[in-house]
Amino acid sequence: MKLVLGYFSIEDIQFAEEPRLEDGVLFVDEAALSAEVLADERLRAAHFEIARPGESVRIIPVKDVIQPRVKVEGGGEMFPGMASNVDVVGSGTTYVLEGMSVVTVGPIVGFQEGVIDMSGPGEVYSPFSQLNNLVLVVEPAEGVTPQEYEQAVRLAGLKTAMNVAELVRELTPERIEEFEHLNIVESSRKYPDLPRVAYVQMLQSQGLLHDTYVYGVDAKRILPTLISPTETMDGAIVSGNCVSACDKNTTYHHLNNPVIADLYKAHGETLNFVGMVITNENVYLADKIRSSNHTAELCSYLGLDGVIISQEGFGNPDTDLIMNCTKIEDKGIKTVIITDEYAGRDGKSQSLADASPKANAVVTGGNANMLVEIPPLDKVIGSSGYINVIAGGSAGSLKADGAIEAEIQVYTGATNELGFNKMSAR
Amino acid sequence: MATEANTASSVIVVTNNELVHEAFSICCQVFFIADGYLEVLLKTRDLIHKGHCLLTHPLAGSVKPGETPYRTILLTGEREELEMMSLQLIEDAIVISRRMIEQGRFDCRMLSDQHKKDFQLIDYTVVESACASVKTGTIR
Repeated sequence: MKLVLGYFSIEDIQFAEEPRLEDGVLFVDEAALSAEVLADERLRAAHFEIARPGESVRIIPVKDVIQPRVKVEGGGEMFPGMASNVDVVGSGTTYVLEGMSVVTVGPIVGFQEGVIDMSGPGEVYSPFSQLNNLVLVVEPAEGVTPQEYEQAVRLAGLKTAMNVAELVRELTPERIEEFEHLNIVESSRKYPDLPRVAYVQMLQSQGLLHDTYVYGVDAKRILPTLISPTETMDGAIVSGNCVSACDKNTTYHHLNNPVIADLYKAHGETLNFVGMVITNENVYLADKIRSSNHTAELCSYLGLDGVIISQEGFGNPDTDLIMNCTKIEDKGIKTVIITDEYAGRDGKSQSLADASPKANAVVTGGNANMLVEIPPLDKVIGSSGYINVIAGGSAGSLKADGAIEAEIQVYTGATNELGFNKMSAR
Repeated sequence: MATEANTASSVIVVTNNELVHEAFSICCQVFFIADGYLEVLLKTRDLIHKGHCLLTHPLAGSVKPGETPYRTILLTGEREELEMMSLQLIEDAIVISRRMIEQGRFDCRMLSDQHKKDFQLIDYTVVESACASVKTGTIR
């Protein structure tokens, strides 16, 4: 399976009646995009705003962040099984709009979503402050349940990203990158002397605003399975979760998974990137046992020497993480786990809810409990009142002048456990 | 909804969430704790010592101790010998929850009725996700 990504650099976004990409500026027709979103009768109102790097803008509450992409060659369309037919993706050619995203904003329940500051000291905590963001703000129709609303917002974000990306379908990308995923026989023949390494990605799967979808399937209901890393670049995995915002994988993260990117860089040089296993993080203990058993069996079946495991979330997923780690280690396969920490505001408390001596190689995305004070910004997209109830905030977090005092867990992607951030610890 | 979850009589529920209490009391034994998050964990620990086993992780969901007033836990209805895995999980959860509640500044008295309902709904949907496994007969 071979996928070519063609990149277009987006330097700015502007509203215009004639949508186009011109000299790095993406012109979008707000009225047309809004009309498409409002075709879903579950949504009462929708409008777009633009937030650029360095602007004095705070976006809250953030639901998902999506990178616009379009498939121009090969099977299927973006986000198969969710926003397009359930065809196999991951091969052919896909065009990527770099330097921008579609951000969905709209309170589904009052405490579940994150914050992006486009400038000021809070800018460093969300990587999405570095993008030109096309922000979709929606409101639900009367009588729509939170579950229906969540689904409507999720689809509106994906479809907007697909519509925007259509603008480059007939253009020529500025640069391309190739990613090839060989089958296990071919890769063994090609790299007989390199250590065989795979990636186990754990997906949050626990209920409303705690879910992830694979080809449209609720990840709660999957057994651990093999997936080509290139399939994730075409949107085979879609985010349906955002709390706590610091360590949940947005759809943008899934499309740009840095673990996959780094394994590809090392592939054929220092290791043989054999493949990828996805597994879930259910609340039911028997499900945790079953999924970790099957994950370890798949790793053994692949004849691996090493595995990188990334977690999503904190608390009960720590149990899944340690089960995966110990069971894979028990197969004689070395593991490295990627997590984050809730080590208290001083960073001195126990970091995880579970532990094992076998988890002896750990990479951390940082301490989500770290308290920060952030001065007010001039403009708020959404409503800053939510900071008082958002996970990581508390009553009094929002000061009279608009300043925030809260844990960094309020920031979307602050302690991301794929390493899509700049924080760590020793 | 839980009324359709067909949660077996061999499942018991410990909760301080009125929404869960209302939905589950028609199909299972519910211990409703008219108190805080930590008290739900302590009641669960008592039941584990009496031989009930955890069916759901005591820290299920991503809304953490000290960030929500509500917690619901499912256990086996039948009593067996003390299960060490359940005991370890609940003890770890109590230690972490105590610390996060003490260090946090969450005050549920400050929550609006709508926000309380939101917290109840999320706790409910997390438990509901476990019911799918109960429904298919996977007890342990």
